[in-house]
Amino acid sequence: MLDPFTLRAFISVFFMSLSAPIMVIMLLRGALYITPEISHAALGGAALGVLLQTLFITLIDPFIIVILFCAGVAILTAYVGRSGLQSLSMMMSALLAVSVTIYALIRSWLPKEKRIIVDGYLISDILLLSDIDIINLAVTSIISFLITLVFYKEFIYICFDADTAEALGLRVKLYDALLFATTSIAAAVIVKAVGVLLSVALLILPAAASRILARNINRMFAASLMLVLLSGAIGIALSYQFNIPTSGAIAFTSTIIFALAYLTKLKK
Amino acid sequence: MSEPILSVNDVSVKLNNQIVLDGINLEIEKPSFLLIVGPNGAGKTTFLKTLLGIIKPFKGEIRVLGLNPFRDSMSVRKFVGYVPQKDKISYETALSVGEVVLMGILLRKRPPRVVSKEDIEAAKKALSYLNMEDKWNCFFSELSGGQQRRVLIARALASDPQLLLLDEVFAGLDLEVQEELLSLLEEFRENGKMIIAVEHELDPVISVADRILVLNRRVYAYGKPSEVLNEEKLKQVYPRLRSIEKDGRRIIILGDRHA
Repeated sequence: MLDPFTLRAFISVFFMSLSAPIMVIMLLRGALYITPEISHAALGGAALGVLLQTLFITLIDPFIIVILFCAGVAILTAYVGRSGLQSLSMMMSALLAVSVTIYALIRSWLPKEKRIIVDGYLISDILLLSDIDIINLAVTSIISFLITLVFYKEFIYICFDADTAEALGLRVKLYDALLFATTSIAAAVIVKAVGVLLSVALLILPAAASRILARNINRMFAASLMLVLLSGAIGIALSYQFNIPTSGAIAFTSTIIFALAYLTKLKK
Repeated sequence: MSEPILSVNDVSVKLNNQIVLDGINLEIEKPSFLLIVGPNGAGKTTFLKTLLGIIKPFKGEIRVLGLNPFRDSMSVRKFVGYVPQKDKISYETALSVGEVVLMGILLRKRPPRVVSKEDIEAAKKALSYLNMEDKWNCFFSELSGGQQRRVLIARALASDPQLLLLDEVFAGLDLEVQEELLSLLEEFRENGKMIIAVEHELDPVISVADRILVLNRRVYAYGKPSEVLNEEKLKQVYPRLRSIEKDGRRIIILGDRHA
């Protein structure tokens, strides 16, 4: 029988895996590289959220502010990025700097017991997630998964040929904003589970590995989802076996899986 | 006199605060095949996007099939088929040929854009018109350049448009494929439809075009090929233009390198 900590870790891994398909769409949109910036924005969002929670007692859950902050950063980056690569990289760097500065400034004002909550977004331990955290992960990951399913066609059409999609009446800017907002929700789920520093391994690598292993888009979705589940299961097992941090072990496994997938590609 | 299928009245467009189209006037009746030529940055694609209602002019008025593309954008898009430049397509997004052609039908439907039996039949019919029905399950990205262009034209034709807008569909194709596509487009026009093709080069569309528009931010020449195709007019837009005689044919070399 699994102890409650391990059980919650497995449940979190399952909900993290629901974030994988939207990352595949970001990969096809050529915008996967923005996701680390979105996950880093979580730090600024977490600091703001905890500050608001401190000021207004328990009225606000910091996780909601994390999602809103990440979504704001993602949509602004995408909007400015339409003017060209130079504007995109400039806006990405500026918003990253703003997010980290907000985190550093607010963190220094917070009482010690609140700083721990904010720092939990930097390096999170998946074994220490509470029941409330699991409920948050469940709700947000299911929302991001459902949006991906419902607007699958629109997202794929924008990825394939945005010009024609727009010519035939699809509101490309609106769906792009929805895509980036959904990515923010998915990124926030992964950040909450493993922390900002390790999130990149689960945001980018499963989607990148799925591109190597599968051609068909539906198979890429399935592969990315399975790779997150596999990384989680093996990572949790490794952490027990070798007494190493669980989140780190999951990120490490994800990296190894990507490396193996890449080696298979090189061999072909 | 019938109502013009396309009427452009003193249209000017700005992009990033720069005027890219300046005082364009044009009137076309159907059936017709209009070829728009001009150097890089002449505003050719912008002109097509303005006709589609994607880019709004800051001055002037447009009527496509009697409709205002900004006020009645959905109605206009229902009657118009569009084929983009090949570099606008993402070959990383692995769609099958069937999925690509269905895109042209489903984007005209409301979400959730469910595929019906009729949609599949219409998509297959459009593909068979271009002799590509056997490629239904193939990946689009694995087809040759000419086959991909046919699939994109099939996507545009699948919803039975009245007006077909083609953005450099002949670029990079070998002569044989170009001639095949041209005969298909001629057939489309003979069925009473209208084609507006933007091309960087005059060849090969010049042989079938009824009208030619030489564009470089403004209209430099417009009329029948015999009226427009003189060196004096074309040199205003293509300063390095020269013509040579080969095998009894006069060949015009525009001398403008394509980006």
